Amino acid sequence: MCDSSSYEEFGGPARPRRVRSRRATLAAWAARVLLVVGAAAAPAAAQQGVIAGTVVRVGTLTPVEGAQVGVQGTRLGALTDAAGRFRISNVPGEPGAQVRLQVRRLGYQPAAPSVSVGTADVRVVLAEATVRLDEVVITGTAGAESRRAIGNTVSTISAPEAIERSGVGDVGSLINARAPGVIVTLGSGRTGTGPSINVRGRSTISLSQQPLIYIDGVRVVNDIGTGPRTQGGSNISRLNDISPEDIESIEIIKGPAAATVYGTEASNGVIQIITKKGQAGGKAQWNVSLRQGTQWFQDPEGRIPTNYAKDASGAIRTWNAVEQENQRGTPIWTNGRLQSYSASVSGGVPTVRYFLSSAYDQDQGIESNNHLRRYTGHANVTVAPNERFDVTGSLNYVKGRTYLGSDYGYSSFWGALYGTPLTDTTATRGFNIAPPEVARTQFENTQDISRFTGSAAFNHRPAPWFTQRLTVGLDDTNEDNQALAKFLPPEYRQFFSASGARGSLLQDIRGISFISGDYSGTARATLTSAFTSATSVGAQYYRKRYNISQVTGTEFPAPGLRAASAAATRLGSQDFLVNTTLGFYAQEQIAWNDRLFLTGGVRVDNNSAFGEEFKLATYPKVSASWVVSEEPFWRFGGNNTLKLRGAFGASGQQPDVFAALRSFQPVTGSQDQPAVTPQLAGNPELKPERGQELEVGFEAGLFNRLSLDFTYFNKHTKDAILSRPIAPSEGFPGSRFVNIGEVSNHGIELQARLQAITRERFGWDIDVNFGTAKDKIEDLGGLPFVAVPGLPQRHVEGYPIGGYWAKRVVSATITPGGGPTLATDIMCDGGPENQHQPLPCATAPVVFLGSITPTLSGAVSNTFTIGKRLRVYGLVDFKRGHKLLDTDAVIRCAIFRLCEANVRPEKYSPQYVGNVQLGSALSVVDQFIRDASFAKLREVSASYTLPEGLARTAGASRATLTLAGRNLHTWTKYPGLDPERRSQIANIGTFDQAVTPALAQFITTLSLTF
Amino acid sequence: MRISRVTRLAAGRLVRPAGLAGALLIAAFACKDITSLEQEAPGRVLASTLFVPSNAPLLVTSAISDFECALAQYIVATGLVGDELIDAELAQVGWDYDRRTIVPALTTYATATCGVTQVPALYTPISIARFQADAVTKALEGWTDEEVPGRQGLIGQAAAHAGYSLILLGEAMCTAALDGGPELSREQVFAEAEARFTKAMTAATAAGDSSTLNMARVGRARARLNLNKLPEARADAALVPPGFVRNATYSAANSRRENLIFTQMNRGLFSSVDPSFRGLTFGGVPDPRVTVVNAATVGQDRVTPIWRATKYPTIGTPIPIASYDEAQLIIAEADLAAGNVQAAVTIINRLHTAVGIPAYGGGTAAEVKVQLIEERRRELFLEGHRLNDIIRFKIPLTPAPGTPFPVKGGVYGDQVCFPLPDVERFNNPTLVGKTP
Repeated sequence: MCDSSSYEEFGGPARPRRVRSRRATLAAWAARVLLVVGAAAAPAAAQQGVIAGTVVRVGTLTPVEGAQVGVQGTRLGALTDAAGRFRISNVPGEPGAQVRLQVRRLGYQPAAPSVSVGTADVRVVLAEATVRLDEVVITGTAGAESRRAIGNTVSTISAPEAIERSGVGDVGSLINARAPGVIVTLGSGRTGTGPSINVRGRSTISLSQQPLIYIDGVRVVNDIGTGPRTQGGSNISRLNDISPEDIESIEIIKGPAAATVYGTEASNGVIQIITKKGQAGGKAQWNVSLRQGTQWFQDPEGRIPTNYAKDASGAIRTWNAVEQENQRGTPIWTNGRLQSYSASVSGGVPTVRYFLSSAYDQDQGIESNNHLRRYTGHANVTVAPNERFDVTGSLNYVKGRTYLGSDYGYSSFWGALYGTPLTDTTATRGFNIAPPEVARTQFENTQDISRFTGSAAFNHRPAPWFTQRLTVGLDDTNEDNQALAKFLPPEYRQFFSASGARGSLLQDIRGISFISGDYSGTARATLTSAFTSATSVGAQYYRKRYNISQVTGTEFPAPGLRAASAAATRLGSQDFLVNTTLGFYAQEQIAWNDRLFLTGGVRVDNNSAFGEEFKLATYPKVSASWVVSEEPFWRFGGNNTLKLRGAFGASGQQPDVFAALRSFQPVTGSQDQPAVTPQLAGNPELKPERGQELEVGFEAGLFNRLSLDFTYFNKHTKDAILSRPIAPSEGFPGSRFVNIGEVSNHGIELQARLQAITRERFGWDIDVNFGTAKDKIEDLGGLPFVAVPGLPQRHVEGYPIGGYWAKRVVSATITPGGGPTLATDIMCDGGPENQHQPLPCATAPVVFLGSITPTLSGAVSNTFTIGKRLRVYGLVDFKRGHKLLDTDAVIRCAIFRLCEANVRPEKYSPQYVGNVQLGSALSVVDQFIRDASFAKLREVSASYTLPEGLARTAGASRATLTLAGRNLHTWTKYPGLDPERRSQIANIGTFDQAVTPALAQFITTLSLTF
Repeated sequence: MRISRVTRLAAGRLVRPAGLAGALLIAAFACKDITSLEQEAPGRVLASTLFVPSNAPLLVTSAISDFECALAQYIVATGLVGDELIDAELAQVGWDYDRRTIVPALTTYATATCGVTQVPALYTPISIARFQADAVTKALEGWTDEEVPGRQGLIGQAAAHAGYSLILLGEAMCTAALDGGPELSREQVFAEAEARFTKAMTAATAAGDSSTLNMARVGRARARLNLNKLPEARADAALVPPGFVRNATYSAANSRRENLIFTQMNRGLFSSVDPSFRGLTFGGVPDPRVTVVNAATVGQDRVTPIWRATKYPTIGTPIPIASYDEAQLIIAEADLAAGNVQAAVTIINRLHTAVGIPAYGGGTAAEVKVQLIEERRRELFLEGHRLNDIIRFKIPLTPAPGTPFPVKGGVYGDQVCFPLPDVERFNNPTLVGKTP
């Protein structure tokens, strides 16, 4: 709780942070001096009292932390603590005398209740502001900027609120479904894995789709798909290293129009994580959170299919892995326990504020070899020796180990999905390759992580008209990825080759460091009584370095060995990659009456990955914002607000580090002598992709109940970089990055919040967000198509990036009873070039079957507040308009021939049987490329705020108990295990094969405030 | 008046930050060390620094290295398409080789590179080996003997390996391209090979390098055999001395250096020796040239029994590129075509004597030709000749096209050469937009 006897004066109407003319500012300053003098003189003759109480949010009745509570007409005031409490001493007046409080908090509508001096249980209820025009945004702006002045949309996620509602335990889940147009793709459900994040669909053909990640202004590693390079092990996201409990908010800007100041690499958008800071107050504030839960693979009996085969006599036999193992008393998958413990302390005085926290997570997956332990520590300290200068130091450390288990081959899902009844009496018990306990015994796929992120942000205000900020930071990550196959005991060797049974180690050690330096300076000037100017310049420097060591050891001579040095054959390599970006920008913003803002700027970048023939990249931006509802002509009342905005800007996406260079790779050559071999053909003319985007929209508040944030965006990626295969005859392998393409992407986004009912004992909030995105390759440099290796995906002009293309069966003659030939006369769609006349599939062309990227995504949530203490919440998110290759079905039906269609083809459509017959080469798989649209009951929770008396028995001032469920139901027509499954998430190849689906979870969280 | 005062005031306030910003920007851009960023590449050799005379030995070693890796990949790939090996892989991407259903879009043979251990690569590693050897030859020819000691010997080695790379390209591919050029027929590729070998022989003769000279002789004889220039082929082969063999070297250093034939049947269990090569005898005596043992295990696909060739017992066992025995078989084929049947039988029996199996009694020209084909099958087992012999001698395919491909689905096709891959057709500047 904060107690202050001298605070900002609370004398005027609640209209914070309006930039006024110089003349008006001087007048107000003079008035304040007079008031303060008057106030200072008054106490000599008057009695003084205390006013104390609590500030809560209407509807949820949750405490509002950081609210400014002041006594009107004085400089007395206080900030509320985490429990929403405040206390103001020395209030002039007789006990019982009426005074008016001014209560303000960004994001809330101000309140001005009348209270009696001496009252200690004042209860102020704040309603959330529908449009938060004065909320400060720091992402994508030259300096901190109020939302009213920004011409692009910025999605903001309040982490504490989201955690308290849903009990999310990782940052990926925190972001999912809370910002329109931000698509979080899960991949694998194994414990420790993390998602990919895609903002506004796809807009690059060959480069990464991942947005940049910043923590408190410092660029940090945004790698996804890390981990041991085997058995689906590469699914760990660095984003999930950050403890959600340490996050205050997340700001997301979504494209080039907003990200121009970040320059090259920012065209996929920027996610800024803002960590919690200490609040000045009387005493330290402690928070403790205890989380316990369980996760499980929901309904395995209904989701793991039964497999079929004919035995030697021709009789049809069936096998279901789940039923069999349940009957044996050895269920394949079990419940995994989730637990985490976190504590934080914050506080300080106006000159020094601090926030310290630590957390420990221990999660168990649904298999014994999948679990993680992770420790995090976080410290923020702000020192403000005077009004002109402050510095904030931030330290974050995470250390942990994840045991990933295995997907793909030698995994329980592989074995169960592709097992056969013909071997159910053998040692495999029918499982493909080996029964589950074998893989769990042999394979230990781990990632050790040790990561330090530190930053220092210096804010200097040398003059009223000039502010400058310098942020320097380091993000240093050390990964030790190991894929250990142990030397097997005798009973398990039968499932492996002699070499395989002796085990191996594949170790991949990565040291990743990002160094950031970011300077910006802003000079503000009052040009006239109506016009103000803000001129900003800045420079940013990033240097990222990857130090990679790889060791392979094969065949251990004896059990128990697990180091490469103990293996019979050892291979090793080491390399490091360095990439540097240097950028400068300048920006000018003109404001008219604090309600119309015009901003123009330019950013110039150099990057060490640019080709020799290309020097500097220049990115312009221009934006406008107009708070229409503050115009004199506005006739719709103060309860309705409207801000119109528009922005056009450009930013880039740099090519791979060595893409411009023609290089040869050192190798071991003939007779084991040093040699080199062609490695990269290079392209000296290579330049960054250039994303240009126009976005327009509005933010509106209606009746103080409904907020709307609408955006239309239209993005074009010029000079799109294509990883164009090299004709092998040219003597170099792989591909060469070339700037030959253009991609377009457009869509709309809407975020709406309706405070449907805001009664004191019952509240109902409805949150809706959705985004559409439709990408199209406008130009492919004359190439007919570029294939995605090994998959029925292609880049084709006029179609979505990486869309599915395969031959489509239109008819077939089924052979009843099945056999080697299930169907004959299989005919395929002749494609538009043949007016779709049927052709024999061998000569038919592939045709477009669908996009891999959802064209619509979003979420709907409802929050009910019942009584004073209970809150019930549910969130359904959805993705539509995309397809997914059900590779499990291809393997079961077309390759291993284990489906019912293989033994009773007459029960299935001719088209499906035709696919089963011809699908093994992945060219006739139209029936296996399925609509992956879904809606998922992602989060449901009930939170109960314990009575204060009960909380006090634990010494706490507030205690909340939350029971949350995740992923409890999916509505979908997709026939595979889960439409969110992806066998890989780090590149464009999109398929669903033998990976763990999203797991259902129940989580109980107890949060205590002291 | 008031407005102008305010304007001046504002302008004055803007001058300072604007001036400061301008100075900073000018200073920054003037500092070349900051704005001209060099990309560090400590783990790579840049082309600009590689092709210098002092690196000539390194360049030749590199060209030979790429060829050796390509050769091992080639032998497994063509062994699967031919009848030496059968597939035992779990991944369907490798089945098309053995099933003879290779389409131009198939990436495994088209773009995979040296170092793959499962589905063998083909077109790219051979093309890289050819490119390297040609580029090195050209560079050496542009330098002087003073700049490069032993230059002629290095030219001989580089050109000989360029010639052999073209042999592999011509024998495996239905058509091919060189250096982004036009689509070439097999005969055109063999003609290119012949020219490289001629250059190699000249240089090796000048350098006194008999090993490379004989390697080039066998190579040119092989090229000429493919060009149906049998007398010329016989003439080259006849100069090869007894006992000559030139090997490609292998080791356990890394996957590029491994003898892929060994690892396929001993490590990954991706391939097995075809049943037609198991238990071969002559006159009731096991033929030691084709010793195959039952490994008593199944392949990666958990179905196919693994039979291993003992010809390559370790991961570092060398593979013959050219040998006196191959030269003798070329002579026998030329003699047989010329009507000298007995000369061919004599050569066959000389080979039998060398390995201790009974003599061949001879027969009609047609019968001896059949035996000669069988001798080539055994003598050159898993050395990369069999698929080309199937093409040259029009040997019926087994299993026959249309036969169901066991276990994994589909039916056997009738392909005996790899089509020019899409990756070449769609990205070769000479071929883009042309109908095949």
